[in-house]
Amino acid sequence: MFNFSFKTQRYLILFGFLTIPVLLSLTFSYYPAISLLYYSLTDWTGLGWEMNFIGLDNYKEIFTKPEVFGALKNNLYYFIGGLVQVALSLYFAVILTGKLRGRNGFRAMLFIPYVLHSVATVIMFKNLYHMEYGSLNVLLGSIGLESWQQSWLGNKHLVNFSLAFISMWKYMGLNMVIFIGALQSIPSDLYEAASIDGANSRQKFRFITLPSIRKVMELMLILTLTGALEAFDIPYVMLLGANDTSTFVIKTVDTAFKYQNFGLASAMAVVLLIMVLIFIVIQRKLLFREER
Amino acid sequence: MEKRFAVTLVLALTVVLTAACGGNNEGNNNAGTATNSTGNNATASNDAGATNAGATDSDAPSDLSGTIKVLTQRTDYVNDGTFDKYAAAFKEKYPNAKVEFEGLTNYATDIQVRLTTGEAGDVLMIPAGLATSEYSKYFEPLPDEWFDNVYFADNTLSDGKRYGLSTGVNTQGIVYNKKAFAAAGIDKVPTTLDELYADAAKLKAANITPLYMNYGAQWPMGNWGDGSAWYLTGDPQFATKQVSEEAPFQVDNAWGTLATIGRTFVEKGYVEKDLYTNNWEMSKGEVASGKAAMYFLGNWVIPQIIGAGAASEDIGFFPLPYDNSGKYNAPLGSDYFVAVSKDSKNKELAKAWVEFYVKESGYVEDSGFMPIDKSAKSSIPQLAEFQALNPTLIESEATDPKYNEIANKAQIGIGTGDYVQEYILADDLKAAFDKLNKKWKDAKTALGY
Repeated sequence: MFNFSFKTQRYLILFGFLTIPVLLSLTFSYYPAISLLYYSLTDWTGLGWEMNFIGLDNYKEIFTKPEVFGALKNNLYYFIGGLVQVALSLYFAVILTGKLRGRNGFRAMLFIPYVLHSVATVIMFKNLYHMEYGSLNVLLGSIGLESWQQSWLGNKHLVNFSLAFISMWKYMGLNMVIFIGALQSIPSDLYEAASIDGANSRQKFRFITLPSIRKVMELMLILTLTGALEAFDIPYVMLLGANDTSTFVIKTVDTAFKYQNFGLASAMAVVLLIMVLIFIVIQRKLLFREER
Repeated sequence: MEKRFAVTLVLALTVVLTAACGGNNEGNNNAGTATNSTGNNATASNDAGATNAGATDSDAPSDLSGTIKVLTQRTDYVNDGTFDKYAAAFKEKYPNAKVEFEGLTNYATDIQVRLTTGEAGDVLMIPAGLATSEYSKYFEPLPDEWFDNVYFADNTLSDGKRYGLSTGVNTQGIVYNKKAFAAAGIDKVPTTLDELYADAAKLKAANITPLYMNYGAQWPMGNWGDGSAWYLTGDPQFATKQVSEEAPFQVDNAWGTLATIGRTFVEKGYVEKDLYTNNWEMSKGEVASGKAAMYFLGNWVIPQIIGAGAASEDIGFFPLPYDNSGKYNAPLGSDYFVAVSKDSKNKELAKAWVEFYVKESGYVEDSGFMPIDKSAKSSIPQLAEFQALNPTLIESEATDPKYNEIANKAQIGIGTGDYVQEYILADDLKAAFDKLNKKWKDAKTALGY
């Protein structure tokens, strides 16, 4: 029909297929991202379109106010929880790729928390942690461990662990499924050869499994770190950041919508982005450098 | 790899920022207004609306026509048909008019976006955070004769024009369950602070939660701070004066008085046991059934307690006795102000609706508010009880926008209760106040006020 050269056809097809996704990503990710950068240089309150360009003042404010970065210490709990979560999910993944009766059932059980929406999860845990009626305290009471009963959300030393535990419970299933996928891609003849050479199962795990899933481990660590930095929904729905549980993102959201300072909040979002990028670079350059 | 992450992150961050727009103010709406279900009260006091309508001039049907859209925070009234009743009554006066309602669940935050994007309907409620100087950009001035002998006439005054009519008058105090008081052997309402503490001790001994503070819901905590401090001093310009102060939070001023009462209740165990869980919906049931005895909230909560199963005659209301003098101030605050949008195509009809809605529809009484007409007496028994105790009513006035600017800059959440939560449980009130004072002073200096 058309008499285009091979090269033209190639370009036509390439552009034809690329236009829509590029347009979509320009509209929904690049444009908002650039606006975010721009807002971070203004004093926009979020109401109306009046804003003044104030240069780097918002960034100065972030780096001179200790309480902004102070919130990061609460993110640390989620990171620790995330590391435990990676270890646990690997453990379950190894068990559930082996020959175990009803393993699909167990996999589904461990994965379902991830499918639940965070808000539903938090409401569930509200009923679990409640000091008077919560099932956790009721259980402890009924088995005679009254002394272990706690105000799970009131105790300043426990509250962040209680919240990090929810996040761990929710996301472990996802990590496990990713690990299972990685484990299943390891060819089984490697294990057979190792068995013939007399390797025990711990050696097989150390020298075959771990090296084979290293890429996935790397991904998990990055996801854990960024997930911890971005922890928001669980502490926000549970406590609105009360009792010293504000994470960096809660502080950002409050700055924008509670204290009506969109400019500063945008700057905080940009700072968070930069922090995440720095962590990723450090992680890749330092921890996994022998690969290069 | 790095690039892909960067892009995903940017996307994720922007999504977080925009998505939060919806979820932010869950609690706040409840604070100022009765957003939640008011249940059977709506039908109960409908006759009140009818009498109201009869009292005011009922002119012959008008030929104003068109369709207007009303944005409202009262999603409950949109859903249970109360607004349809008002609209039907309106149609009798204006047979060619059509009124549509749109309820916004997170009114306080959503309306700001709507105003910015020009989708604010014909009639709407003025968002509390908007400075009066901005009103002329978004709203239509209302006729001056509407404001004769009306509470809060000058709150929306800007450049000699008034932009909003109050939709009801609120006051604040202790809402209590009379059955719970009787069960604890209390035969009269406390009129001094010592009596209040003594009654709380009796209630606790009777295994009743004396005061449901709703610490976990956060917004009710504002009443132990900015929500009440101004009327304790008797000065409606209390907040405005704070703009010039370097250290407004003092243990021996109104802030300290309220904080000390709140802290005493917590220390002595006169409040709910699990402070941190948000039990707001559940707490209404507990006060209604008498498992908990008191709330320190506005009168808007009364219809909600009745909706949660209490009989109206079991619920009472008295001013907070914040010291032992026996003479107390109570506030008069306005609920949302209703306004006509500047972009409206049917301004006359929209104005007609505003006047009808506030003065004739019965909305004010249905919602448990006091009438905005200064000479009218409330027909609500709890408000009559409250007024019988003769509190000095202090009418709130618009505050200097600088007050909010400083508070926002200092990240002290006026009206949200977040900073009050902190000092109510702080080990040392003085230290907690010092921290707030420092934030206040820094923000004030940064803004150059």
